[in-house]
Amino acid sequence: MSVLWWLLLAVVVAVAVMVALVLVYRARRSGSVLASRPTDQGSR
Amino acid sequence: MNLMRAGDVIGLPVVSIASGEDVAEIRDVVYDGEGHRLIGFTLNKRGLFAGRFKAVLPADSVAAIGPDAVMVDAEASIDQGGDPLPGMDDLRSARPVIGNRVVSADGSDLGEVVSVILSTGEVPQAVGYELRSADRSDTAFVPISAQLALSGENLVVPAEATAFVREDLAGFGAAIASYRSPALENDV
Repeated sequence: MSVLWWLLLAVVVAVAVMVALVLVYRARRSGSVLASRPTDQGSR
Repeated sequence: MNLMRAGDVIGLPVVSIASGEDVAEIRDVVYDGEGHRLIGFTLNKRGLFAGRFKAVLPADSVAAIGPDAVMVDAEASIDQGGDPLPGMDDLRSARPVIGNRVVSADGSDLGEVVSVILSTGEVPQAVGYELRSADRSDTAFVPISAQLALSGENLVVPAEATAFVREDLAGFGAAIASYRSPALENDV
């Protein structure tokens, strides 16, 4: 029983680490489309 | 006129024509919210968990924007000096447009921006928005040769633009040409 409990805990921790890594990966690499107003070009 | 969704450019590799190597990956697409000219790109480093690249890629240094890669003449085309991009005081002044509502000057809510449409010709520029209707049932494309306001929540386009809304990207190129004809611009 004790061994099963530790195995279950290890699986939960492993899944949590994987989810955290995916979230960090997505946050670090996600891009966007940005609009700006240049100071010295492009004005109509 | 070659049209691309700006979102499709995000994540593309930046490839050096001289060496053939991937030197970076596109992170943000930055365009001039007033004149609509493409200003450039911020970059991610290559690699699974690599983060943001301090270097930026000015649009003037881009040799070509294709469906599978953004080409530069050489690795030196990337501005290693980092932010801001040319013509900008601070990249933080740039505002995300995805999710903004587009409202015409006569008060019609045209929908929510789901993508910005880029023309990838000699002078790359933003030429339109892809919009999702309020009930999320369909999408449409509206040209942006002129834009009255950019607030961070709403984008205001001239009332005349609503006549050039198209439901498919194929027909949108012709609509842009018509919308930007000199006769119309004189009228606006």
